[in-house]
Amino acid sequence: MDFVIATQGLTRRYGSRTVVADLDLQVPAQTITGFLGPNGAGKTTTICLLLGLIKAHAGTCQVLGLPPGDPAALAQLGALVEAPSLYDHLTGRENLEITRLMRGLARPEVDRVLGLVDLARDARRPVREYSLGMRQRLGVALALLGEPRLLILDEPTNGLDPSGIQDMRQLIRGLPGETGASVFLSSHLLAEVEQVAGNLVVIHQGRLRYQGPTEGLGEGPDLELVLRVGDSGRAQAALLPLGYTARAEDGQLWVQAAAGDAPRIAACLVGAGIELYELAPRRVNLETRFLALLEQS
Amino acid sequence: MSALAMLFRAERVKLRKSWPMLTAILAPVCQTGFLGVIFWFSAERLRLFRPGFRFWMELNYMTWSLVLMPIAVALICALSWDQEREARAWNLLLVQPQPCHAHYLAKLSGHLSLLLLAQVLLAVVLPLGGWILRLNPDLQMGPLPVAIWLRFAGFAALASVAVAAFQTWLSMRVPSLWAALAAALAGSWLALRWLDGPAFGQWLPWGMAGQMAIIFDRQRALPWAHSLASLAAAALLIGLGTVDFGRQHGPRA
Repeated sequence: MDFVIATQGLTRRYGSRTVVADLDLQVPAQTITGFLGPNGAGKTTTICLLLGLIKAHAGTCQVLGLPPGDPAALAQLGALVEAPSLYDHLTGRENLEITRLMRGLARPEVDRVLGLVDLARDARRPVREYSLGMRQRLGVALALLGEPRLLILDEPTNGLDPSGIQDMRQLIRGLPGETGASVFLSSHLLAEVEQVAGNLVVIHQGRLRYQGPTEGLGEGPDLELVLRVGDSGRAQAALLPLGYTARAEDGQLWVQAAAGDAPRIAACLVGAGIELYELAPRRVNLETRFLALLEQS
Repeated sequence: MSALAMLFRAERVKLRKSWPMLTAILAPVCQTGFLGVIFWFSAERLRLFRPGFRFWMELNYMTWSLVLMPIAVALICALSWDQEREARAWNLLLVQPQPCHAHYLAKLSGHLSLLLLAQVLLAVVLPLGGWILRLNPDLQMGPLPVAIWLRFAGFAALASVAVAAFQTWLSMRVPSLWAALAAALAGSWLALRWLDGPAFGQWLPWGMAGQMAIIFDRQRALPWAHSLASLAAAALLIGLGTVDFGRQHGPRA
């Protein structure tokens, strides 16, 4: 498999504090990879390491097959790190023009990216008049200039309204297919990542906790069954011989099982004389699995 | 196209409608206007310095080199770096496929181009002002002294390179407008004080500009030899500034 980002033992310290520890990343080409972690997990530091903005204290790193910060690699990648870097006294178009000139790109490139982020109508307004969401979209447009092979986006949906988030999601989702670009998407909006990313990288306290397909995050099935019963304790005891572990929460019983197991579980509980008021499947969302993973670590 | 040329073109876009650009335009125009008004109402006192047109040039170029130019350079450099800080532009600039030092050199080139614009404006506005002053016959302006005009303009332009190199470095390091202005005025004052004093005074970034003060001493010629020392000092400051920028903004260890 072709990897656009590959690191081995990547480590970065600030003073005595290790912010990124022994990180082994492999980001496949032409995919959207979500980069998840709570605040302070080391996401932005990792991105800065990948872009060559800071140096690693140990380990190796390759971006598009080249060392981080290599001009040949930078020419093929677009990045939005933290807040977008924008000159407020200039228009949106002029801000794009600056990056276009720095990268030596053709003039129509500016119109192309303005269209992609739906800012063509506001392109001649000064950026100081832009809303937070428009600034964010302009930041993404800056990263899209030159049709990069790899896009590194740090919290691109920050400040966007629901329709803006949806537009951004559609834009990012379409990139691998339309331009062949790979996207490395850092976000704390877990549900957001779940909807666009085929692969996930989860870090916590600078260490890698999970790397692989989104659906593979955590263990156990994708579904849980939620039950409302007369006696939770007896129900838990009755389900145990069948191999189901149930946890009581908020007066309900949660059983890790597929929807197809529902008749068997219902029969077991009714057979044991336990009153069953409700039994329904609930999809386990990424957030639940993500939080469980962080708890484990 | 070289990295520096590409970054300089981008720098020109950043300077559009900006405070540094406004400073470069207003500094020579305001100086000429202010001195023009004083000149107009001081015909009696100016008799000693005739012909009027020559004195008009001398007064303006001395004021420019010793006061307005250092202040304008300090403002241009400080405001221009502030623009980058406000835009939090480092993350954008340093992920471009250009060497780190080229960003500093492009910035300096932008400052020098604004300074050149200011000096060209001054050179254009001065004869225009002089012709308006001719309307007052008491000033006995006489004809435009073309040779002196060109010499002063060339000398002032050369003298400003080292000042721009120093202020570009200072404002990159110290994000304070007041520090930049204080350094400009202190440097100019020292250069004037050491005009005929210690030799190292000529190596100050303001050393050559300070030499403009001798123009009232009409038997003395402009010391063009100082331009070599001044440009050498500028080259040294540019080199040090470029290295320091790489240390500050290159990949951090």
